[in-house]
Amino acid sequence: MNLKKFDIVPSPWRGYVASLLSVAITTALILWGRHLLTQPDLVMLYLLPIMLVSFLYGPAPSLLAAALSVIAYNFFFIHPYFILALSDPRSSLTVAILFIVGIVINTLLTHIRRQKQEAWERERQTNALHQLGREVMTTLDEKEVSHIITQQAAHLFGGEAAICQEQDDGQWSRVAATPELFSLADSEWVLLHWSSAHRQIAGRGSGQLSDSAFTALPLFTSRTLGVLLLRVLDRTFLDASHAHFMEAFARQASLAIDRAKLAEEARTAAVRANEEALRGTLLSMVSHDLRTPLATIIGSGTTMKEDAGSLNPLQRQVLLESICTEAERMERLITNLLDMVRLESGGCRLRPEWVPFEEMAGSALVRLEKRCQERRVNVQVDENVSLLYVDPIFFEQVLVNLLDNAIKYTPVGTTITWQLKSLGDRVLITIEDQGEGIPADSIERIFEKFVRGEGTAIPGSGLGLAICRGVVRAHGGTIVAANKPSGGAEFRIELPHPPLPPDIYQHERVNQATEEELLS
Amino acid sequence: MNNTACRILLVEDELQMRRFLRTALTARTFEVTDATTLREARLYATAHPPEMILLDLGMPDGDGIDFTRELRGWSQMPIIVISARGKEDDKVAALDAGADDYLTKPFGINELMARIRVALRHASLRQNGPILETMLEVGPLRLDPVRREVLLSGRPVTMTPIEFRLLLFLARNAGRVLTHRHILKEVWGPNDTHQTHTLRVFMAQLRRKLEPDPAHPQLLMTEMGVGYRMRDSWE
Repeated sequence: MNLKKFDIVPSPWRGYVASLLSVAITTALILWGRHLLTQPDLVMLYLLPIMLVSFLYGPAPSLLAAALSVIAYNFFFIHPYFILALSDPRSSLTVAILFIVGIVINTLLTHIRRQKQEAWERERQTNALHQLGREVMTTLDEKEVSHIITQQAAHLFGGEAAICQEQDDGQWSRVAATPELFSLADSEWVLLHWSSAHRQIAGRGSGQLSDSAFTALPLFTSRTLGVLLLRVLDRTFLDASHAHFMEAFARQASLAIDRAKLAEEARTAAVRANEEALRGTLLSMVSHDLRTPLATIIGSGTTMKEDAGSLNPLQRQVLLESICTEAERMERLITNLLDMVRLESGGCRLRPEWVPFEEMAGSALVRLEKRCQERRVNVQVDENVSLLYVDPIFFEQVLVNLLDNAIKYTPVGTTITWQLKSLGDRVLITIEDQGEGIPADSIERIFEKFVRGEGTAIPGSGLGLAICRGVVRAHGGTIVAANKPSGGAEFRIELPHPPLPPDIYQHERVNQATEEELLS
Repeated sequence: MNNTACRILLVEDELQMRRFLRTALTARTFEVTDATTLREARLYATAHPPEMILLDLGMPDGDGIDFTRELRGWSQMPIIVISARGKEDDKVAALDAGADDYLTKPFGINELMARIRVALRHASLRQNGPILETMLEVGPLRLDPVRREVLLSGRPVTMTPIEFRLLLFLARNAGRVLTHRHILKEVWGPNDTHQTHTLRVFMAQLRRKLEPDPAHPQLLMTEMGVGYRMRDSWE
């Protein structure tokens, strides 16, 4: 893998072999072309292998190359030949200069090389951090961010990486890991704990708990975010010189996690704000929708109670009417509230029976007879599915609430149509009206609790349709609302329709037979 | 009906409810005795048997359903139970234990008066013994039990034997609520194991034959979760 990329310094023995070879080849070349060269040329030529080795293999092999050059020069080219001895002071000076120049070249080249390597390394680290930053910007999901960090870390440090977080109960758990099966001994929690508590690198390659196989990088901003745990296979990163890079990486990772956490917190806060708003709606509904009728009742009642004879019979009648109307309104509201509570607490068990749709529709119509006024209700039943398998009491309430809703939002004189159709193993009930339809922006939300038609002055609790949905769902069905192209709202209920029990068939047959008998 | 002498035992533990009922009933010339516990009610019912009992099922010192059953052990006086919505099972149990009718809280005075009238009428029929029925009339409906003929607004309607028995039973009890079980027992016989849905199917057929709009009944009313009632007040 990417281990090679960092392998600027190959294993040293190759450098030493190269030193030996290069000096040997230079010596051989000089011996071959000796008649063309003067003594100073020879010395200059020996600088070549020193430079070459220093450039390619670093300081130690190049020192060897310098030493070998001096020896070879002395041995082959200084009188007395083939002996390592310096008889002539001038020759001694030449050898010394050769050696010094070799060392100086070596030192200079090493310095340049190191600078180049450091610059390269810095660029690489900057790139790595930059890439991490770029990758984690793609998401705001904390889990995904953690996963990206471990991927990058594993890639960069050549090993395995995991992010661990301390749970409320003090246990450490793995949030993300690359590879997925990153295994962590239970004993490593000490490492995690120390690193997190002291906000310092710990474990292998650090000054703390360095006997561990792992390196722990604490992740923190103003708050503690966990620990990035590494199993580093690239040894170069275990140098103290890389500690600052690891820290930078951890810092970058911390910022990314913190950012995701903040986003998550913002989302939760938004949800909570929504719930608060809902609770607020409930409170305002209870205080408004229960108090308004009560105000009328109390007001009218006390007016009549304290009356010293100034009210005429007509006025008394008006007050009495409003007391009754408002009390009935309160009753509907309380009925809905109780139904909602019963549905939500799960305390009610449905008792489905085979019930003719017409019977429930009829009962609902009778219950709302007074409120229907001049609206016509048209019930059309598909003969094949006259019976529904539902809880009659709850389902009648669904029909009552839908009818009540239709009455509220449609003008007097219009027609409301109820239709029952077979869909094979399901049945479809549609309730259509000729009102203004449902505002497009609230069509999705009308089945939610306490959601009312926007800006409506029509009294209601916003519970009726929520109860409908609750009951229909409890029956394994669905309810949706839509606006018809021709105008008006349409509610569609789909319910499962199990096969009829045999005795109903039997009775219908027997009954028909007797009927024919009677008619003949 | 002679209201002047009609005594009602009102079994109700809530003060305001008692006040309302006592006021409303006294104004309609009934004589009202209050009982705030079942113990008191038992005492009054045996010492001064009233013409009828209005019984709230939610009494603090016992079960109104047991009280109904106990009372039926020695008296046929009409009992109308009062109960809250959502307690359909209690209503059915009280009716099956022998109560004549029920009212769901909250109710209006007209509803209460209608129930009382029907209960008293049926009680007086019971007291005077079975009279020979020549013809039954309920609203636009005329039944001839002997010739098994049904006329709706003067036009004959054909009925199967079961449909006729069912209709006759409802008509004889016009105005009263009849529980599913009661109807099944009476029409199909005590040993029949038919279920409520059979009754529902027959009721649907009756409605198709007798109601101009079966989905908006005027005669054969459904008491959801309890039973059926044939409407007997026709203004």
